[in-house]
Amino acid sequence: MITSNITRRWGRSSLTILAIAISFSMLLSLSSISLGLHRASEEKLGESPRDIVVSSNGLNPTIENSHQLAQELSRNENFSAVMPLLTLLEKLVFDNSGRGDITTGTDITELEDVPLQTVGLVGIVPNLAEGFMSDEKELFVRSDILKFQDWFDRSGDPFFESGYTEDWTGEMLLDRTIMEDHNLKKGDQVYYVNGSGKVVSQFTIKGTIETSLVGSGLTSELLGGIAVVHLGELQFVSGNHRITGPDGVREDLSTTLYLDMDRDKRTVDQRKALTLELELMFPGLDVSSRENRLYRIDEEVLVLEVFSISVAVASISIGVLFLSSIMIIDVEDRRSDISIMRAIGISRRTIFLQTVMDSLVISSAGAMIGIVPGFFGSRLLNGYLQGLYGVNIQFASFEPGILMASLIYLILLVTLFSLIPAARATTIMPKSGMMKHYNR
Amino acid sequence: MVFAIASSLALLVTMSSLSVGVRESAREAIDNIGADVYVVPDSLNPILLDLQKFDQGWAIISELQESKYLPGHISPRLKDDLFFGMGPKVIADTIVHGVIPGDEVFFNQFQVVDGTWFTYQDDPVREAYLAGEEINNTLFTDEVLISEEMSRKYGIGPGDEISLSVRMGSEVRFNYLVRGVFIDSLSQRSISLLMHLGELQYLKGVITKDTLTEILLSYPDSIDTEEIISWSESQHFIFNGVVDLYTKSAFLSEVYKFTSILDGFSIIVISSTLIVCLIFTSTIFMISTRGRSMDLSILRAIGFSPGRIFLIILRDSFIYYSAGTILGIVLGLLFNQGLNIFLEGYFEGLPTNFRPFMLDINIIGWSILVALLLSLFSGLVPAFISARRSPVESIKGDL
Amino acid sequence: MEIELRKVSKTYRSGETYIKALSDIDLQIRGGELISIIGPSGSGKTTLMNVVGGLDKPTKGIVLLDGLDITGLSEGRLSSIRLRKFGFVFQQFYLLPTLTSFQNIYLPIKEARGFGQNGKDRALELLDKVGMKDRSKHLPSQLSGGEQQRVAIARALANDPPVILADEPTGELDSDNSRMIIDMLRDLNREMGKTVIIVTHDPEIARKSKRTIKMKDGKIT
Repeated sequence: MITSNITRRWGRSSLTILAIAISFSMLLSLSSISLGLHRASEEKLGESPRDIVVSSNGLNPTIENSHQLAQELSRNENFSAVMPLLTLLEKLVFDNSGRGDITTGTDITELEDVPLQTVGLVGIVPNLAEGFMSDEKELFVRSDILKFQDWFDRSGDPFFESGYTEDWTGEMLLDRTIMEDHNLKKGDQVYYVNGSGKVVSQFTIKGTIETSLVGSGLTSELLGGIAVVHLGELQFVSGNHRITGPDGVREDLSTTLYLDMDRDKRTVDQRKALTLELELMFPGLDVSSRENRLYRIDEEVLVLEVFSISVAVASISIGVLFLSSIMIIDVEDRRSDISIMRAIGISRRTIFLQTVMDSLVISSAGAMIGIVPGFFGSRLLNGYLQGLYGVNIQFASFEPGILMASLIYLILLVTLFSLIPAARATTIMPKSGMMKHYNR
Repeated sequence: MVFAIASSLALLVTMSSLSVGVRESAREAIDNIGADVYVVPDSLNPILLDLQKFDQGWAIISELQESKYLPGHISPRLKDDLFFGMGPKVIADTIVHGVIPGDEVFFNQFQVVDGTWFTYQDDPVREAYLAGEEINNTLFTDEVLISEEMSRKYGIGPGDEISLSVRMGSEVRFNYLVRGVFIDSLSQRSISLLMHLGELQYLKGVITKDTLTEILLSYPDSIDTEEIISWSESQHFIFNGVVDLYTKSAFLSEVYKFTSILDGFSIIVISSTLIVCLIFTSTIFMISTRGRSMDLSILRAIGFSPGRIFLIILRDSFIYYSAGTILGIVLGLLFNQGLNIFLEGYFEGLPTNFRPFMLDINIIGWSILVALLLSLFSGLVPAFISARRSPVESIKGDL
Repeated sequence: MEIELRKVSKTYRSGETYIKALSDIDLQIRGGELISIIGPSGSGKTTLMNVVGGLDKPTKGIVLLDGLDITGLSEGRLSSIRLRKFGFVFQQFYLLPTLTSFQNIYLPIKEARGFGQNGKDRALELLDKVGMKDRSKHLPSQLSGGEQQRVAIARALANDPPVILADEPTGELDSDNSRMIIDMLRDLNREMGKTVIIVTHDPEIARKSKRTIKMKDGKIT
């Protein structure tokens, strides 16, 4: 009897179910984006043991004597590992064509058809970086996870140790995307070009790294990929090894220091205390603990999450509003049926519940049908965003939790909105519906 | 049902407004700068103006000036950072825009809101370098402007003194007088300074390379900026990948690439919502016309033609949709306002007057058109069925 | 207006069964006649009236109105003929429930556009004619059965049609109201020269007509 009213009017019921299915699948797809963004931001912090990060606030490396500073801090009993890091956006030339006219000192502005590529250059001290890598040889740099397929032969920073004069390793680990795009292999040469268009140094490809960049989409417009070299060598080529200014010489500049706390001391309170200490030690620099960073990342994605969820909720709410309208009309349509039911003794309560049940059955049927398109919609949106941005991260996360939450939300909303038609149904008196022509 | 239609249209309006708002705000921000052409480091998306630099700024400017396309005004700039402090204390690392005041006045990115512009319009340090003379800080003008946000946050105003240093713990500090307070139209709530270009280059140790982040150019109206771009592709620095030139529209196209994600997202949401709206309203009209079949049969019996009945149903659909459209546009407008206020308080570093949700006449026009089409399609099948029904069917059924 | 039916048959489908409501009817009605169609329930009298008035199309045969064969006409043309040539009075009145008495009468006047600016006056005049002028703003649900039927008669006269078709007009009324309605219909014939065709199962009403057509099992007896 519960479904008889629905099956009797299969035309309108099936259309209503279809519309609810579309709305529900929208709710699922958009909610999965919200969850995906949240998960992606959590992952950013989850992988690497960086308890505290000290970094330049502005645009340039401002942490001076970074190698020495890292050594001194690592002797502090609170820290188990400290590493300096330099990240810059620089121009490289890949000469795998064997053209032979590019070498250190070449002015590329005098040549034709030189393929310049902007890459994210990362300078590390390999043996220090190992202390921050996961078992899968992953290192977090800015917002990206670098997965090292190969590693440096020379573990320290010999060029820096020599005072930037000798023992140049020229080792470079390069993004697989760039390697594929330019048909590069291990052993090929890469040339660093400064702001005047001069080749100031060359590197040799030692191996590959995997990043989330896929070499297409919007991010490829900004960045071709990532390359990792020894810190001292990057400082040298970019002019951050020694800058002479009116206040003397600034040396050994880096953008960031990673600090990992001693395992036994790794508590939230300890981390907070150490963060404060470092803030006093480095006025004018940004000092952030794991908690700060999570909060910041959360804040950054919060707007997108809220926006996504809001649109999702708006979509399903519109569907339920319409469902409520249909149920109201349906009640009017069944006026004579309802009045006959009342005449033969069916209680108002039963009629009320039946109307609510009709709404719930229709919307549940719609929800069930909407699950599959919702899942595929989520995959589609994920693929679309990945392709658009050109990054290999999961924008959409379709989980049982999302499904449950969406179903619960739908049920609550439908129950709420079906109260109006249900209440209307209970006002129909036994005789009134039988005077069907004039009681409309 | 009117409210449900209104909600659907409000969602359409809001989602459409998002794309328009972001684009329009970006266009306004870029227009506000007043430059016709931007010179930026090559192979870099121009919206990342600050992340890379190029050297030999003077040589590039000479190349531009030697062309037959003579710029009206040129403003070379360097965006870098310094540590600023008050008294003995270093407060923070802050962004500094190095400009030549006399050149920068022809562009509008920086607007003075309190105090005055620079007293010295030229750039003594840079002029000395270009003339091959010795450079030291005795040539400094000792004047800066601070951003409104910086003034508000640190309680500094015109007439106050601040110190600038290159290094964090440096004892070498340079005292500067705050001449005025400015707003950066590209970044409303930024904490930043304006100072003479040459002084910034000298402090950062890059004056001998003449390092810049960008050069802004404005041209007389008679010159077609697209011709300049074509010409530039054959020139030394530009051809050989040191710098690249972007017209205003090319700059905007790069920005629009990033806003295109909003379009895709909006289209998906809007399409699904409208399909749902269409399905539901058609169903509702079908139900309601069936419920009115008696009335419609009576009209047919007394002489209303099938065409008339058809139009009556369509008219009813149109009335519902009209009411829903008006309410929906009003709701959409209210949502836009609310969302703009919410987001304004949330994002720093956005251009002045950034309004991500902007309703324009085109959106209203499209909404009305969409509503018209939906009202037509919703009412079409019920109208057709009602018109075809024999007048005697419903009456007979009643007997 | 002259009405002629030639070899008219009408068959209805009811589920799996076919019901022959009319069987080879030949009939001529001259202008100005007052005719009763009488017969038991299911004899086809309502169907005959519907076919005469163009509400229904015969399965076989033709219907001529002043020589014009209306059986092949489009629905649009038929509607126009019904609007201007026929006035219908139904057993259950069939006034539009959401319109007032005045509006129910004015509706076909406005549709036909035959009275131009004077349409509203016409409607009020008709209301007055049936004695319902002071109830012009009332909804059907606020009127008694007799009052509703009077309004229905006024609506039937809206565009001054030559023919009035009344299907069991007193079926829902008490005897006093029935008498009043029948008298009204007779006055329309006598004073206004309209052809009035009344379907009824009441022999008393049939006796008051000038001509009676008896029907049984879909045939004229």
